[in-house]
Amino acid sequence: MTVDDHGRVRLHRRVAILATAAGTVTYAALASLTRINTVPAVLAVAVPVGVVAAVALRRPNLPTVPDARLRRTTRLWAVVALTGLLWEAGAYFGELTIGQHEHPTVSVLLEPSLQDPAVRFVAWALWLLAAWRLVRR
Amino acid sequence: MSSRDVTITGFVVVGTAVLTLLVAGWSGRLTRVGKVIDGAMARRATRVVVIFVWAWLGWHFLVRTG
Repeated sequence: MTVDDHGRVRLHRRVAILATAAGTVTYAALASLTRINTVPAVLAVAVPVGVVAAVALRRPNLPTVPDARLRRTTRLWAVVALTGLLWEAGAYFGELTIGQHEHPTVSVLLEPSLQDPAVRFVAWALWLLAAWRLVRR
Repeated sequence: MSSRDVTITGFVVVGTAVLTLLVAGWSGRLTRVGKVIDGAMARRATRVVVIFVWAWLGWHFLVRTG
Protein backbone atom coordinates (compact mmCIF):
# COMPACT_ATOMS: atom_id res chain seq x y z
CA MET A 1 0.00 0.00 0.00
CA THR A 2 1.44 3.40 -0.98
CA VAL A 3 1.30 6.62 1.05
CA ASP A 4 -1.41 7.78 -1.37
CA ASP A 5 -3.49 4.66 -0.67
CA HIS A 6 -3.16 5.20 3.09
CA GLY A 7 -4.35 8.78 2.65
CA ARG A 8 -7.31 7.62 0.58
CA VAL A 9 -8.27 4.97 3.17
CA ARG A 10 -8.09 7.57 5.95
CA LEU A 11 -10.24 9.96 3.92
CA HIS A 12 -12.83 7.23 3.22
CA ARG A 13 -12.86 6.38 6.91
CA ARG A 14 -13.43 10.01 7.89
CA VAL A 15 -16.21 10.40 5.31
CA ALA A 16 -17.85 7.19 6.60
CA ILE A 17 -17.66 8.43 10.21
CA LEU A 18 -19.09 11.84 9.28
CA ALA A 19 -21.87 10.26 7.20
CA THR A 20 -22.73 7.89 10.07
CA ALA A 21 -22.77 10.76 12.58
CA ALA A 22 -24.94 12.92 10.31
CA GLY A 23 -27.30 10.00 9.60
CA THR A 24 -27.55 9.15 13.29
CA VAL A 25 -28.30 12.73 14.33
CA THR A 26 -30.89 13.19 11.54
CA TYR A 27 -32.61 9.87 12.28
CA ALA A 28 -32.56 10.53 16.04
CA ALA A 29 -34.01 14.02 15.51
CA LEU A 30 -36.84 12.68 13.34
CA ALA A 31 -37.49 9.61 15.49
CA SER A 32 -37.57 11.67 18.69
CA LEU A 33 -40.59 13.49 17.25
CA THR A 34 -42.61 10.26 17.43
CA ARG A 35 -44.79 9.68 20.47
CA ILE A 36 -44.61 6.52 22.56
CA ASN A 37 -47.11 3.75 21.82
CA THR A 38 -47.73 4.91 18.24
CA VAL A 39 -47.18 3.22 14.87
CA PRO A 40 -44.50 5.76 13.77
CA ALA A 41 -42.50 4.97 16.95
CA VAL A 42 -42.80 1.23 16.26
CA LEU A 43 -41.59 1.74 12.67
CA ALA A 44 -38.75 4.03 13.80
CA VAL A 45 -37.44 1.23 16.04
CA ALA A 46 -38.25 -1.61 13.63
CA VAL A 47 -36.20 -0.20 10.73
CA PRO A 48 -32.81 -0.09 12.56
CA VAL A 49 -33.56 -3.46 14.21
CA GLY A 50 -34.22 -5.00 10.78
CA VAL A 51 -31.06 -3.49 9.28
CA VAL A 52 -28.83 -4.53 12.21
CA ALA A 53 -30.29 -8.04 12.28
CA ALA A 54 -29.89 -8.43 8.49
CA VAL A 55 -26.27 -7.21 8.51
CA ALA A 56 -25.00 -8.78 11.73
CA LEU A 57 -26.71 -12.17 11.59
CA ARG A 58 -25.46 -12.94 8.08
CA ARG A 59 -21.85 -12.75 9.18
CA PRO A 60 -20.03 -16.00 9.86
CA ASN A 61 -18.45 -16.80 13.21
CA LEU A 62 -15.07 -15.11 13.59
CA PRO A 63 -12.13 -17.03 15.02
CA THR A 64 -11.21 -15.34 18.30
CA VAL A 65 -8.96 -16.32 21.15
CA PRO A 66 -10.11 -14.29 24.16
CA ASP A 67 -7.34 -13.60 26.70
CA ALA A 68 -7.82 -14.00 30.46
CA ARG A 69 -8.57 -10.29 30.99
CA LEU A 70 -11.26 -10.26 28.30
CA ARG A 71 -12.86 -13.40 29.78
CA ARG A 72 -12.84 -11.84 33.27
CA THR A 73 -14.33 -8.55 32.01
CA THR A 74 -16.98 -10.41 30.00
CA ARG A 75 -17.95 -12.40 33.10
CA LEU A 76 -18.27 -9.18 35.14
CA TRP A 77 -20.45 -7.53 32.46
CA ALA A 78 -22.59 -10.68 32.24
CA VAL A 79 -23.12 -10.71 36.03
CA VAL A 80 -24.08 -7.02 36.10
CA ALA A 81 -26.38 -7.36 33.06
CA LEU A 82 -28.07 -10.47 34.48
CA THR A 83 -28.52 -8.80 37.88
CA GLY A 84 -30.08 -5.77 36.20
CA LEU A 85 -32.43 -7.93 34.12
CA LEU A 86 -33.47 -10.00 37.15
CA TRP A 87 -34.06 -6.86 39.24
CA GLU A 88 -36.15 -5.37 36.42
CA ALA A 89 -38.10 -8.63 36.10
CA GLY A 90 -38.67 -8.66 39.88
CA ALA A 91 -39.91 -5.06 39.79
CA TYR A 92 -42.18 -5.93 36.86
CA PHE A 93 -43.80 -8.83 38.71
CA GLY A 94 -44.04 -6.70 41.85
CA GLU A 95 -45.72 -4.02 39.75
CA LEU A 96 -48.29 -6.58 38.52
CA THR A 97 -49.00 -8.19 41.87
CA ILE A 98 -48.47 -5.43 44.44
CA GLY A 99 -48.44 -2.08 42.68
CA GLN A 100 -46.48 0.27 40.46
CA HIS A 101 -45.71 2.72 43.24
CA GLU A 102 -44.14 0.10 45.52
CA HIS A 103 -42.26 -1.73 42.75
CA PRO A 104 -41.53 0.66 39.88
CA THR A 105 -39.67 -0.74 36.88
CA VAL A 106 -36.80 1.28 35.44
CA SER A 107 -39.01 2.32 32.51
CA VAL A 108 -41.63 3.72 34.93
CA LEU A 109 -38.89 5.66 36.71
CA LEU A 110 -37.45 7.03 33.46
CA GLU A 111 -40.78 7.71 31.71
CA PRO A 112 -41.14 11.35 32.89
CA SER A 113 -37.62 12.16 31.65
CA LEU A 114 -38.19 10.39 28.33
CA GLN A 115 -41.16 12.66 27.62
CA ASP A 116 -38.74 15.59 27.37
CA PRO A 117 -37.82 16.13 23.67
CA ALA A 118 -34.12 16.73 24.38
CA VAL A 119 -33.79 13.60 26.55
CA ARG A 120 -35.74 11.60 23.97
CA PHE A 121 -33.37 12.79 21.25
CA VAL A 122 -30.31 11.80 23.32
CA ALA A 123 -31.86 8.38 24.06
CA TRP A 124 -32.51 7.83 20.35
CA ALA A 125 -28.98 8.96 19.42
CA LEU A 126 -27.39 6.62 21.99
CA TRP A 127 -29.51 3.69 20.84
CA LEU A 128 -28.59 4.33 17.19
CA LEU A 129 -24.89 4.71 18.06
CA ALA A 130 -25.12 1.31 19.74
CA ALA A 131 -26.59 -0.03 16.49
CA TRP A 132 -23.64 1.34 14.53
CA ARG A 133 -21.28 -0.26 17.07
CA LEU A 134 -22.99 -3.61 16.57
CA VAL A 135 -22.66 -3.66 12.77
CA ARG A 136 -19.27 -2.03 12.26
CA ARG A 137 -16.36 -4.34 11.51
CA MET B 1 -37.16 1.70 54.13
CA SER B 2 -40.18 1.10 51.88
CA SER B 3 -40.43 -1.46 49.04
CA ARG B 4 -40.17 1.45 46.61
CA ASP B 5 -36.89 2.60 48.18
CA VAL B 6 -35.47 -0.95 48.03
CA THR B 7 -36.46 -1.29 44.35
CA ILE B 8 -34.93 2.07 43.41
CA THR B 9 -31.78 1.33 45.44
CA GLY B 10 -31.33 -1.89 43.45
CA PHE B 11 -31.41 0.06 40.17
CA VAL B 12 -28.94 2.61 41.57
CA VAL B 13 -26.58 -0.21 42.59
CA VAL B 14 -26.77 -1.80 39.12
CA GLY B 15 -26.27 1.61 37.46
CA THR B 16 -23.25 2.28 39.68
CA ALA B 17 -21.82 -1.14 38.76
CA VAL B 18 -22.23 -0.33 35.04
CA LEU B 19 -20.46 3.02 35.49
CA THR B 20 -17.68 1.33 37.48
CA LEU B 21 -17.10 -1.21 34.70
CA LEU B 22 -17.07 1.56 32.07
CA VAL B 23 -14.56 3.64 34.05
CA ALA B 24 -12.40 0.57 34.75
CA GLY B 25 -12.33 -0.07 30.99
CA TRP B 26 -11.38 3.51 30.15
CA SER B 27 -8.65 3.55 32.80
CA GLY B 28 -7.18 0.25 31.55
CA ARG B 29 -7.89 -1.86 34.66
CA LEU B 30 -10.36 -4.00 32.67
CA THR B 31 -10.95 -4.59 28.96
CA ARG B 32 -12.93 -1.80 27.31
CA VAL B 33 -16.64 -2.46 26.79
CA GLY B 34 -16.15 -2.19 23.01
CA LYS B 35 -13.81 -5.18 23.03
CA VAL B 36 -16.32 -7.13 25.15
CA ILE B 37 -19.04 -6.37 22.58
CA ASP B 38 -16.69 -7.36 19.73
CA GLY B 39 -16.02 -10.65 21.53
CA ALA B 40 -19.75 -11.29 21.96
CA MET B 41 -20.45 -10.33 18.33
CA ALA B 42 -17.79 -12.74 17.03
CA ARG B 43 -20.00 -15.79 17.65
CA ARG B 44 -23.45 -16.05 16.14
CA ALA B 45 -25.10 -17.45 19.31
CA THR B 46 -24.00 -14.55 21.52
CA ARG B 47 -24.57 -12.10 18.65
CA VAL B 48 -28.26 -13.03 18.66
CA VAL B 49 -28.45 -12.34 22.42
CA VAL B 50 -26.69 -8.95 22.11
CA ILE B 51 -28.96 -7.85 19.24
CA PHE B 52 -32.05 -9.05 21.11
CA VAL B 53 -31.09 -7.06 24.23
CA TRP B 54 -30.34 -3.95 22.15
CA ALA B 55 -33.65 -4.28 20.24
CA TRP B 56 -35.56 -4.83 23.51
CA LEU B 57 -34.02 -1.66 25.01
CA GLY B 58 -35.17 0.33 21.97
CA TRP B 59 -38.65 -1.15 22.11
CA HIS B 60 -38.99 -0.76 25.87
CA PHE B 61 -37.73 2.81 26.24
CA LEU B 62 -38.47 4.41 22.86
CA VAL B 63 -41.75 2.77 21.87
CA ARG B 64 -43.44 1.54 25.03
CA THR B 65 -42.57 3.08 28.35
CA GLY B 66 -44.32 2.70 31.64
